Amino acid sequence: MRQIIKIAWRNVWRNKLRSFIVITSMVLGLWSGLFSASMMSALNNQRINSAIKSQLSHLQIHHPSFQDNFDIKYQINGLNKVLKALDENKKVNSYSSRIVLSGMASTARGATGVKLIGADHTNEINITDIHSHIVKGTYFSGGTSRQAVIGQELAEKLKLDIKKSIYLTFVNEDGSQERLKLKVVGIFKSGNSIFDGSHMFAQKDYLDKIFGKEDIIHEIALVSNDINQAKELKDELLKAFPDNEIELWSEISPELGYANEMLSFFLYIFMTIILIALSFGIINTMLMAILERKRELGVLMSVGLNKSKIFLMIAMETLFISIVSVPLGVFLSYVTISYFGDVGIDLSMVEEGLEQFGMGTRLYTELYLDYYINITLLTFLLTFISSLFPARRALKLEPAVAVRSI
Amino acid sequence: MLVKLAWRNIWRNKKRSLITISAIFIAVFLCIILRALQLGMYDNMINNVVGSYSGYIQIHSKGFWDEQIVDNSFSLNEDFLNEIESIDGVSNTLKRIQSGSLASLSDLSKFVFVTGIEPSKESSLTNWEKRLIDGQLLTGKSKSLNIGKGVAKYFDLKIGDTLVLLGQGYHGMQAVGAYPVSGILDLKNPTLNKITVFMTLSNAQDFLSAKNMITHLILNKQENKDEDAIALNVKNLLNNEAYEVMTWREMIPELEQTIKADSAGGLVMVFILYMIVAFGIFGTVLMMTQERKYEFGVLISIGMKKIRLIKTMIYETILLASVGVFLGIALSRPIIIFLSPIKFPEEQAQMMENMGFEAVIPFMNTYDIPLTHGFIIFFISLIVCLYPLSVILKLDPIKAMKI
Repeated sequence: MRQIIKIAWRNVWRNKLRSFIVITSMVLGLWSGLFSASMMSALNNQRINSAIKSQLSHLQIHHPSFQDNFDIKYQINGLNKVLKALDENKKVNSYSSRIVLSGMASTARGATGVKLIGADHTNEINITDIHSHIVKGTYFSGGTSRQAVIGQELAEKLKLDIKKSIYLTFVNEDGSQERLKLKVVGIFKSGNSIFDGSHMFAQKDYLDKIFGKEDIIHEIALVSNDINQAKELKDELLKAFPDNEIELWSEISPELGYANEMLSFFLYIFMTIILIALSFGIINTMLMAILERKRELGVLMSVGLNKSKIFLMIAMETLFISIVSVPLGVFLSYVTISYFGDVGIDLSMVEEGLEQFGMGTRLYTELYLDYYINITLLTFLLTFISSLFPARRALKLEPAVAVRSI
Repeated sequence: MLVKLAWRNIWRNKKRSLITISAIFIAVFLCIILRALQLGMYDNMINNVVGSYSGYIQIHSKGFWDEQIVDNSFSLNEDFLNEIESIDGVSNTLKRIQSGSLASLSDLSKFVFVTGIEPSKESSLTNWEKRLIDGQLLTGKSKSLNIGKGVAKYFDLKIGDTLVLLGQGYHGMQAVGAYPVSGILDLKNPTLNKITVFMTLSNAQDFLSAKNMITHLILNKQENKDEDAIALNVKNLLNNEAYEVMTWREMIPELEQTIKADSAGGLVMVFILYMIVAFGIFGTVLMMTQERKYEFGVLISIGMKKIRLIKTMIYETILLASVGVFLGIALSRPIIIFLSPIKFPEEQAQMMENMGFEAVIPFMNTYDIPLTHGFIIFFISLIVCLYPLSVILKLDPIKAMKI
């Protein structure tokens, strides 16, 4: 047995060109497959992250009826208890409680429906990254408290610029109309034109003063320590506070969640196709090798090597090739993926396309560990299966005929 | 003569030929499957997002998209409609009229979009039966309403309750009416659910005092047809001053951007697959050449010119590659036709269906995919064939005949 393994190992290196071709194709196949998968999932993650950071957050909490009509009277149920629970929960990284007013923004030049988000901006910067997408002016600063930061599309619609005034008309709790006058201090561009055309931010302190109380909260946006914990966190919170509506980012924006699911499923299909192509490459090459070594195998058989040993030898040869190439391929992928995960791939060539998603010009590749493990196992399984075909082929040789073949 | 020789060579060693053919066959087969799935996935995404409500192409009166009021509506005569429907690729058309109104029930009121639809035709876009949560769907003569579940929740409304609608009609007419609600729908889109009220087209035209007028004409395309080409044809047919023709690309630019970014990645995937199958074919041909070195040596030493041997090899490769490519195309057909669509694993499927999307990936069934990829693989096989040719050129018959 040990001898057969030894012979198989040597056979692998006897025909260097053949083994080199098979090993290169496996290493390249694994490497490029894993690397492109990591690019795709990084692209997707970055797109989702940018939406999560600028608008969705991991979870949002509302009064169950609030989102139907953004009625000011539907505030979060049991606010103090909710806040206390969030403070104590270790999965919560940070949260921001917001006043959300839906109303009509107007200037002398026009009017349009908007959502005003009133938040404590020192806290809000932990949740949303609007502050890093300011294209003009600043993200709140000292001075007057009636400041507003508005989206670029909104500014264009209403022909607004910084230092100009904007009026917001909304319906108060008692049904009467109220009008706020705010001064634009900053204009942001988050990358989502619909969001930018319908959202403005103001300071919660100022709104609190208008309402004369501090506990009007319509929305809590929160970020958990790890986005994968968000679902668990949601279930926990929903159990504790069944009378509030708690939604995951993928429920707030189903299209984004859909694209995400679709892609991750497709990546597996892709890798399977790549691996099938690889195994057929191996099978065909090894089968052809058997034909080439007909005479050699015939000699071995005639001098008394029994069938099971021949089978073992050929199967081992195929397996050895994959045992050399799989770790090499996975290791190479790991090194490049983590390298480009740190440094990033410069995408300034296609910058324009990416900016529309609100993404940076660098792509940081990443791939989950379980993906590596699954792919490695799958490759071994497939090479094991593919090693059986050439070995079976070798068994069918007639020693007497094979010896005479040239 | 050389072709005959090549032909006999192929049949002389059937096993060898079979292995080479199968290498090429697998390459063509997998490339077609991957590409068909990829393009099918995008098609399905578009279909899921636009196909269920907004349609692939919409025709409005000029200026409607920027200012969506009923005054920007248009009337459509039958001849004209027939002409549009006869454009190649258009499967059917839907008329809608839409206007914003205030809906009230007792002391609650809410802004909604009243949309007049042709119920029987709308089912060509999406399966309304599946979306109905309560009550009954509109039929041709209904005088009642179907509403989104968000609207129903807001009013805490039950089937049979009457909604009062108050809005602006055509040319400043007052639009007022009270209609019973006969069905509640889940439109699988949070925004649509909250603002949508459906009635029949004729009912809505009465309500808005806009006899024969519509705001949207929605064109549905046949499967695998190019909506841009259809839109262009429609534009040529229409008077550009009076109408605007929009495809989903203009109506939902975000989706277009997402797909563009993804399909760039998709091309990378196809390229990688090509690289791997090229290696597979090369490995096979490499071993084949080594096996035949002796044979080549004999032929050359008995006086065959190298150039004639090379020609024979080329004929052989062309024959084998053609068979492989043909098999690849032929065998991918049943898979594309019968295995489509691929279903998602249970858990994911549940999640996606909750979001309102169909959890499947259909194969894109067109002829240009097999043709393009078959041709590319054929070409790759010819390039790989350069290896045995160079071996023949350098062959020293004495050495080759030693074993």
